[in-house]
Amino acid sequence: MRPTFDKMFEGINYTLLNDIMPELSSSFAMTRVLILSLTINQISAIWQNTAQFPLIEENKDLRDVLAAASRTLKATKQDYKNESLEGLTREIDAELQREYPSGEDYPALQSLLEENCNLKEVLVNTITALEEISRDYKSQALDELRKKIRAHLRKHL
Amino acid sequence: MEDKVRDYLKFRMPKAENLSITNLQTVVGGTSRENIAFEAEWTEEGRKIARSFIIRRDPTASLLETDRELEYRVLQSLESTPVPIPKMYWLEQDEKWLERPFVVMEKMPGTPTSARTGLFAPEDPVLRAKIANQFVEILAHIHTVDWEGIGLSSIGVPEAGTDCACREIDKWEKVIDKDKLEPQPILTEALLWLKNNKPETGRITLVHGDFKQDNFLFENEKITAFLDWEMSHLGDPMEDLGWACMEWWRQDTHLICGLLEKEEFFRYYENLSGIKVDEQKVFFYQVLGCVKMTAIILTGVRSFSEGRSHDITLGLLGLVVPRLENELANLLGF
Repeated sequence: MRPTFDKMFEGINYTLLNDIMPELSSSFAMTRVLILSLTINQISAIWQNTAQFPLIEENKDLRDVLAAASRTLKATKQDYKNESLEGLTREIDAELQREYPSGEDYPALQSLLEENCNLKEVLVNTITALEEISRDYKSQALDELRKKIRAHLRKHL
Repeated sequence: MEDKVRDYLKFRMPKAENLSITNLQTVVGGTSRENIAFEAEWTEEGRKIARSFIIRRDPTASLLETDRELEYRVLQSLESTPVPIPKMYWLEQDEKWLERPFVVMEKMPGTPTSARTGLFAPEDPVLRAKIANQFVEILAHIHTVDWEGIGLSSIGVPEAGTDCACREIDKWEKVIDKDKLEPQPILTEALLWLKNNKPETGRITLVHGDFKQDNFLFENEKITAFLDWEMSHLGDPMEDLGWACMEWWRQDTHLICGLLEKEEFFRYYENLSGIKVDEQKVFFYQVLGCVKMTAIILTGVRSFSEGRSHDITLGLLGLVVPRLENELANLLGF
């Protein structure tokens, strides 16, 4: 999601108007550049209204994978006592319960981006913790959780 | 700009008279430095001299925040070797001349290998084979340079064991931590894998650090110069092989850097350099290469997103990061 599309649209417009336009000598070419710039502004406005949808899906999948992680880690705690595991489970549950403000019709883009970032941060912490645990505790459930996380990452490339 | 360049040349060449600058223009290519080409003519002690120069100036923001002094020093040291490189004239740190530090070097003949040159077109396998051979020959030259003999110990000699791998992992992990704009789970997975699989280095060599088809010039079936040495260092020679093997450079073919078969690449390299190719190490450095390339792009994306650079190329590269992540996922068996 980085750079965001609005930044890209801004960048294309900047290049058209500041780098290309001054190099043009015909009024026909200058008019075409202006039309391109206006078109980009229109596409940008449309994008602002549709950008939410892929993020809604990714955030839902992230929540599913983190919920699975929470369940697996809680089950693991019965056999494998570890303080950081406790902390991580609490962190996952807290993030899953956190509420993000939504707009009137759809969730606001900014809010979805923030949610996406926070969920991914918890996922990164989970990946790191799974690596540490695997050094002195092996279990099929943890292996399957890792596979599930990797499948999620591949799906959302 | 022309006046400023003329003033600088006069400062560097006080004996030059009737100095004129022509064809000064920004050259497309490379996003880590701004390249300005020009021709200069002058008279010195009665002799008329004409030379083509390139100024490589630090940009306001770029993909790479690299050490221009290191690149300058490596290229100067390599002048006495068979590695085709431009002659370095001056390193200028004083910003009073052109607002930002820069180096002045010889402008080499030849064109870069963009898709437009036809080098990668299937209809010209003979040209491609000739270039491919020289590509490997240059790599073998770089890896067999007597780096101690030409004074390159000063750029930092890694210790025996896993230090070469550790240094590179550490370097790029720091870049990712500094420049990422959002959490990077795939890079996290890849960094964990790299730390668990660090290879030992048997032989330390000079490493180009960005050895690929975009970084040479060619003319009349001959590679005239290998450029972009800003990531060069002493390390494991397999690092350059791993980097060159990345799918990212394959030009939509299965060929290494769009030039030659992997087996051919390894065999010819071994014959020329006498260095045995360790495919496991090459694999490690291919994974590292994907992480490094992503880190480099993240630096550019941050500059672009924060408005420090308006270069759309930096933004565009950010949008193709999923291709690198896909390569990582394939390599690590996700």
